Amino acid sequence: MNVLDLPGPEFVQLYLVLIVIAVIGAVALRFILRQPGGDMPLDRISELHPLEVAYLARGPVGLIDASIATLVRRGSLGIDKVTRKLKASTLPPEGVTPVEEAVYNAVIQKGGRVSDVRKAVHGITNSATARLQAMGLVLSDDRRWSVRLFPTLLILAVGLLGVAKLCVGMNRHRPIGFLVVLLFVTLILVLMFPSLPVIRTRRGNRLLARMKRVNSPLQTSARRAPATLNDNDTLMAFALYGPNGFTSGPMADVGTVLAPPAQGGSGCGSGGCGSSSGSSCGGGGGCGGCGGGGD
Amino acid sequence: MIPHMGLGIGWRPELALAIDRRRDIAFVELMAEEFDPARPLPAPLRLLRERRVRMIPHGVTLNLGGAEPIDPKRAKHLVDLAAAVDAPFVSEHIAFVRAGGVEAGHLLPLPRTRDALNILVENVNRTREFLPVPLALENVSALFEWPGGEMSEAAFLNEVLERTDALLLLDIANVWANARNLGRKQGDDDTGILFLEQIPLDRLAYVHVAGGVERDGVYHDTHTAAVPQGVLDLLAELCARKTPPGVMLERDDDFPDEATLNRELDAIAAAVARGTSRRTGEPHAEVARVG
Repeated sequence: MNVLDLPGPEFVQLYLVLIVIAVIGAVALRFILRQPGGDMPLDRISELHPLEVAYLARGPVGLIDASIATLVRRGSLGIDKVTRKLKASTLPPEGVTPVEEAVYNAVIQKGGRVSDVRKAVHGITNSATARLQAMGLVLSDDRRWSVRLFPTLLILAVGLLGVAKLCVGMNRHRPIGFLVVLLFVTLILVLMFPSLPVIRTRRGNRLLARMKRVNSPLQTSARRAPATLNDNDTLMAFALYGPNGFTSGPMADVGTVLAPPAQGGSGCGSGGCGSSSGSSCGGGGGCGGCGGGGD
Repeated sequence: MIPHMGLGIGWRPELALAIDRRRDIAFVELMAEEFDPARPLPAPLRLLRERRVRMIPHGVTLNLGGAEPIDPKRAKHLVDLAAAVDAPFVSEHIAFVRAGGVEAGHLLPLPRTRDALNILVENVNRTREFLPVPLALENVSALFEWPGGEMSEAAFLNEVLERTDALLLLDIANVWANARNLGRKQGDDDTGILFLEQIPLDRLAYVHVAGGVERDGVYHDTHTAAVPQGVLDLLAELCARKTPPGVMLERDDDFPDEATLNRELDAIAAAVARGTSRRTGEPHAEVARVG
């Protein structure tokens, strides 16, 4: 039986079933291709440098942003809150990573706009991920292509069948409106699937979730009292929770510069955005606590 | 039966990381009004619970010393929070915080009169009817004494505990502050040691330790500074008489870094060990843990 000869309504039903199967198959294929799974041994987690954690959490942009944060924390870069640009201050200390060095040089050479710095440094970020790949936490470039391509091909195959039927329908002067709508939806899926972020393996996903969970005290303290954290803790908080992890202090200023500009506003600034903290206290009325000499 | 707890601290989000890393913390005190029993605990507290760290809800708004009846909603909040965290007991203050609908914004001392005592006892007993767990009552610091006092602070405390069968949350910093600010003025005990001799230590549930600031000759128990040596010495005196089931640090503002906080906790543990060692005759090294 030639499916292209099916009456329109029956073909549409078949197409809907096939596209659902293709989407489920694409999701399953993405899951399977993001090997390895399982858990990384606990004792190896402490081997990860905060910059590696930043890449694990948010890919090349996460690594670049965390490098910027490191250099600001050390005083090698400053922030112009008015122009939202970075500016070079003191030379970076010895022993900085190649990405940090590239960020510093890009600020000098490209004028300090964050988007220009990210573009200039993006190409070398993969060199910083060798250990993460060896640990099975992030995908190599080849594997990322596979994860993007093969699931998409499944959906595309069904879409091509739909296009073929569309041509047959047009030839026979049959109604094609419903099929056009379905093909439009299919096109969105074909464009969407390859654009989904593909950084981590399943093992990397599990590790990141675990790290965020066990570091929730770090997240809470970073939001409420960033000045009490040392360099390493500050960077780990930035790496895991991103620039939005801070609502005050120098790291919040970094977040303002790294975030896209708010429409008609200057972003959150070091005064904070008023976002709810990870501690989610319920609040209440009354005296506001025992401090102040009455307790 | 009062459970043995050990070293503790008042949980504040600002201190979440330092508290999480301090593995000898056996209990944390929760400011009851800051938590909604119907919602999950903040993630850092869930981690502490997994480590079996005990949690003690500590209220500040019940107004046990006030002339108004206890608000059932506030009492229920304390009850619900105690259930949510499996608390062995809860605590509140021997103080009043509102009158005529006006909030004082502060824990105010009670006049030490028989009338005030009777009101306090009635409110505590009413509250205990709601509570499925024991209630511990905390002594507050006072920068002044109400006129017309009919009894000493120790006598007042003794009677309220006896008539209500409540436990004692002894704020040793407040004992020291009151001795300095008021005892010295009256030519009385200005160290707090006499006070320790006069109160029922067998009802001790746990102890608060905190640091404050001195301004114009008056000591303010602000919970924003390092614990003074005088408070630590008084804590050692207490432990030379009875080792408390739990001793905790209160820090409410001007939060220090992790290393400084650890030094504060170590100093408290050392004071407990010093006092206990005096009582038991065992050297410090053998008495390594609180309780």
